[in-house]
Amino acid sequence: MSRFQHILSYLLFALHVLLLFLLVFQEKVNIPLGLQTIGRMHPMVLHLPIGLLLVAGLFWFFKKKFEGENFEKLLKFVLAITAFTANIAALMGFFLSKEEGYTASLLTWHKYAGIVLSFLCYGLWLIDQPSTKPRIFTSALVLSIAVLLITGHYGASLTHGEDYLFPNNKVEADIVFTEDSPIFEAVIQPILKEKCYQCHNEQKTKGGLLMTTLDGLKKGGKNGPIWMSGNALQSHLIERANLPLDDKKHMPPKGKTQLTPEEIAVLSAWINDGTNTQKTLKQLAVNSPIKAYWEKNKKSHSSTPEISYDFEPANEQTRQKLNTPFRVIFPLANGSPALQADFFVRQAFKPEQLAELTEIKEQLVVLNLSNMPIKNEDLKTIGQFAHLEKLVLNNTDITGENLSSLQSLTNLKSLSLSGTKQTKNSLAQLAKLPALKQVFVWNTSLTEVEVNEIQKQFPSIRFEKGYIPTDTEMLKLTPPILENEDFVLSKPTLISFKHPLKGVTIRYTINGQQPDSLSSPAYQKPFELNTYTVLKAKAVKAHWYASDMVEYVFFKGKYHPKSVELINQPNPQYMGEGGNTLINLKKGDANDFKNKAWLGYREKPFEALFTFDTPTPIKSVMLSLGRNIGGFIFPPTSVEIWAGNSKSSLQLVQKINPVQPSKDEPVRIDPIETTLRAGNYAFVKIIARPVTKLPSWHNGKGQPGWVFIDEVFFN
Amino acid sequence: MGKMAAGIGGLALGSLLVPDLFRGSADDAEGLPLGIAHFAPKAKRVIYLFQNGAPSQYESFEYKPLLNKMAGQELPDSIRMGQRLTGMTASQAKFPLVGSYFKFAQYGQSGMWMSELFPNIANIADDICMIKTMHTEAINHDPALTFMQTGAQQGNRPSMGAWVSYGLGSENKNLPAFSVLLSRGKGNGQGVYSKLWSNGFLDSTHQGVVFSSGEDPILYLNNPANSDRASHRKMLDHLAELNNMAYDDFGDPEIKAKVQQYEMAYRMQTAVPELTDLSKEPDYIVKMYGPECLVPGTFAANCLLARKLSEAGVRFVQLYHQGWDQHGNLVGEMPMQAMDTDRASAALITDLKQRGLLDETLVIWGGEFGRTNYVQGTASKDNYGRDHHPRAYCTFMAGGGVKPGTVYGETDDFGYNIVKDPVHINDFHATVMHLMGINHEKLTYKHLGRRYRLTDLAGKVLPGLMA
Repeated sequence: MSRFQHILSYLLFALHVLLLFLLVFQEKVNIPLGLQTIGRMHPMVLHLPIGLLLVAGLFWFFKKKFEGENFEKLLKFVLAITAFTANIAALMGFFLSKEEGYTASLLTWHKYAGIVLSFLCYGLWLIDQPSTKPRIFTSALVLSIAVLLITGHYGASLTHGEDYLFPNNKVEADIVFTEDSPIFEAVIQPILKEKCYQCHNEQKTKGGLLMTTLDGLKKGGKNGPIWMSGNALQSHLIERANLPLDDKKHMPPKGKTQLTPEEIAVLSAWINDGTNTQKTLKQLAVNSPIKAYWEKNKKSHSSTPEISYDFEPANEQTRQKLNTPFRVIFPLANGSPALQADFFVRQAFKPEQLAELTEIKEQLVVLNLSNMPIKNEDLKTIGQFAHLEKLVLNNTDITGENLSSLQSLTNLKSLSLSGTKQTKNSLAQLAKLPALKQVFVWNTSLTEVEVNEIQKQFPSIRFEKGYIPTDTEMLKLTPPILENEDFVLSKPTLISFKHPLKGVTIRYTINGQQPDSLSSPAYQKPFELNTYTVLKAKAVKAHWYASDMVEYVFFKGKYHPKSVELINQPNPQYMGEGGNTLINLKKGDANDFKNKAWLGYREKPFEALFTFDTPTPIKSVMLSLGRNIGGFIFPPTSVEIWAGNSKSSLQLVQKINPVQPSKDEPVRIDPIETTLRAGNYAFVKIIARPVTKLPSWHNGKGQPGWVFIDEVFFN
Repeated sequence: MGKMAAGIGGLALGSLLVPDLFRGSADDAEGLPLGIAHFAPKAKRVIYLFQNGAPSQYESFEYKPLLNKMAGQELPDSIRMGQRLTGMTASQAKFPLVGSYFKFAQYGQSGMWMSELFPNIANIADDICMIKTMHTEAINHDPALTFMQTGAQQGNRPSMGAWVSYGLGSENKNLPAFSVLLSRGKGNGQGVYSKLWSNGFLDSTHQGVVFSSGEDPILYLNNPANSDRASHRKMLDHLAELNNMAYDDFGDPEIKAKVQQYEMAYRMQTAVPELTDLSKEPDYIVKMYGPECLVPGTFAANCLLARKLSEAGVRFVQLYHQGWDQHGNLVGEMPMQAMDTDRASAALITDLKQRGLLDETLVIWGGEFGRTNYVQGTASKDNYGRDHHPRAYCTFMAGGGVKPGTVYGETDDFGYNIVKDPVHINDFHATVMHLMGINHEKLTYKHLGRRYRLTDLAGKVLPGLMA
């Protein structure tokens, strides 16, 4: 064997193993981009084995004319090249088949025939000394040529279409069914067509049953009629569909596409309804399963539009190249050639990024430029995207000029211009767009009257005006926001307010009175506080209701106790930070009693002993309490102050009974001040008793109330 | 031998084309590519206004005058049919019916019934699809919430938003594809937990990112002192190198996720300031959403932010508004809760509509279950409470391919049982996924030896909800 033959034998073996391998794992094969190009050379290469196999056939047929010692060599050589090119063509074809868009059944036939052909050619070459076994070789050769013709035919059908060779003049129009169409045609026939016609048609009438015509259906098969009007369960059609899948009589047979339960329900309903072939969808009851089925399938045909686009998909590499974090380009759906481009982050925008999209101008169907600094002149670029259906230009810098550049967008359906400057004239330019359905013009420079006028002028386009505020609709302002966070004044402190809404006036009082919208001081700039103050404020603005009043209490303590001892421990859920909680100058939030700044008492009275370094001239004691009536937190029923200069000789120096509420009140900080008999005290004990039984008007009547305390001040 | 070798060569060449040959089957969506819709989507983004705690359907969107007529009478056993009860009413001897304290009227072309507590939502009745027949298997908040958000009651599964992020990827790579905003009303509240926006077994890049409810929704956006953007970039590049080395050593995919998260954080530095910028909004946007929209951490502020996030391509914005658990004092609390949410919810839908975004954005409004038609405890003359009810409750949707101006499903005159078109949570999920262009049966993830999906083994798409 020559060296050439030797190498070729290895190569052919390896290539056929590869082909077989790919066949076995064809579902998992993933073709990289480079090989796609090779695959696309399939139509070029495939002609080589066709020619060579025919040449080999001619050689063999006319072998007498070439008889000589070189005949076999020459034949083997031609066969070797045939086998090689056939295999390469098959491999390329295989790669090509991984691209989408081929009719599946044709492709399968072509693929298997091609692979068989490659192996047959390999086999031909493997036959040693063909002249000695002419019968075997001849039959193998004839078989190969036959397979070649089959392969070629399916291949040609794939590229030229099935009816290329024998044109079929019958054109099946897409029939559109309406509510007035007979149920039989709109619903029943399509189901039968999909699931039954394959075996029960004019060519193939299994069981003697012809289902493609009404007469055939009425006649039934060899077991008689397939339905019994009004009795679906006794009808063969339904009976057989309901048999177990493994039953021989089950229809459609195992292995074929089965009727769905929904389809069986529809067929049953139609049989039960009397198999009237003229009855229309309109005549059906609203809750009929047939109607529901029709609605659903009609929808999936019309409005889950797998809209087909007739342009070529963009090159995937181009798409990837154009994709950046700030310009995202993606197909509308898997397998769709239509692309959407979205731009993000105004700061990152550069005008050339829009111009670069001309590389995919054919495929661009949705373009979202909202909030980007798009100028009037950029509209020219956009005008080139001929297949654009939706364009979003909200909050761009366009001003209504050059909008005529978009007149080339004959497919444009939806245009968003909210937040841009527009005029009646600029919008009038759009009216020429044939496909335009809706234009969004909220928050443009157009007045409501102008939009109404233009709407009247172009009734086929919907102009969306959006929300238009009216002065008659009044809303309540949100309260002013106090910027201070510290409610214990240890030094003169500036108090400042803010409000997020422009043009709001903040009215406030520091004398305990309710602020009003006219005469109370208006907040201008931060002001100073240095004593215990109840600050009340509200926000007011023209055409708005005044806000709820907010109330803040600023505390001041002159004398600071050295230590605190809690004689009664708080409820375990609200232990705060122990006794120190009361003198750490940390105020609690009245909306957050779970905070560590609070001590909560319910079962036992609050009782704590404050110790000072030296006897101190305390005149008043201020308890900072919380009040949340709905949440069972009431003022104490009594507050007792015991004072003295030794722990053992404390005297009751003051006792007060705070006023109890008679209805629900807003949650707030509740300061209770008690003045003492003049004197110097080193020890002060405070007792505050929670309500033992909540009043009858309250949700928790009869249950004990709470006392919450966060700080005590001595002055 | 030589031929064998050549054969093996052929095999080897072939195996190059089968990337997953030795790795078992692919984990991706059964051959469907990730990061792209399976079919043309109707909704590109979702904003889910979750009403946490279960708002009562009887005081909002479910008009049942029979309950007012029969107030105080016992719920018939023929209606209750042995429904299990929560621990809170299990010991109750009587189940007296109670009707709505608030008035109802009809709105829109479809004549949708709405209570007086929701005047703004009533005004957009023609834009929404009201589902009357949501139902669930859970009866307490935590499992019900978890079911609603992850498709399973037990937790540890990926949240809806995480599945969408996994299936469709991020539209805007400069913001988290799944963003979470929290707010709290004054009513009796139930907590929310991070498991509700968990990525479960999915890659942690799909986890929901919670925005702060303070003045800056994203903290630490500025570079630290003495560090500029260029040096920050350099630092990240070197850090990524180190991380990639660690990845080469350990192969933990979480390392890659971390690198991606650093990169996104870097880009967020430019993307986020535009989100909080209100300069492009007209002044009256405040009137539209209500003045609370300027107060960070409120539901209204979150609605406005949600619109901005969604407009900027965030796939799934999940809001939670707490405070809807009216076991008692329903008459006191429900108006406050409604006041917090009614105006801003309606404004969000209108705002999307006027920008041409509503047809591609799906807005969902609803809680985790309904409330009972009978009183929890006893009713006073003008106040009462309602316990948890899983058999039927309301949720509404707008935009994104749902049928506008429609009421879907029907309950009996007691509002207790469904009589027509039930919507199980799995069906609801399947339908939302369908609207997003995802076949809920095909978007799977292999974990612990089997494939999981949001709807797990159930769920059917409901065409009646779709336009």
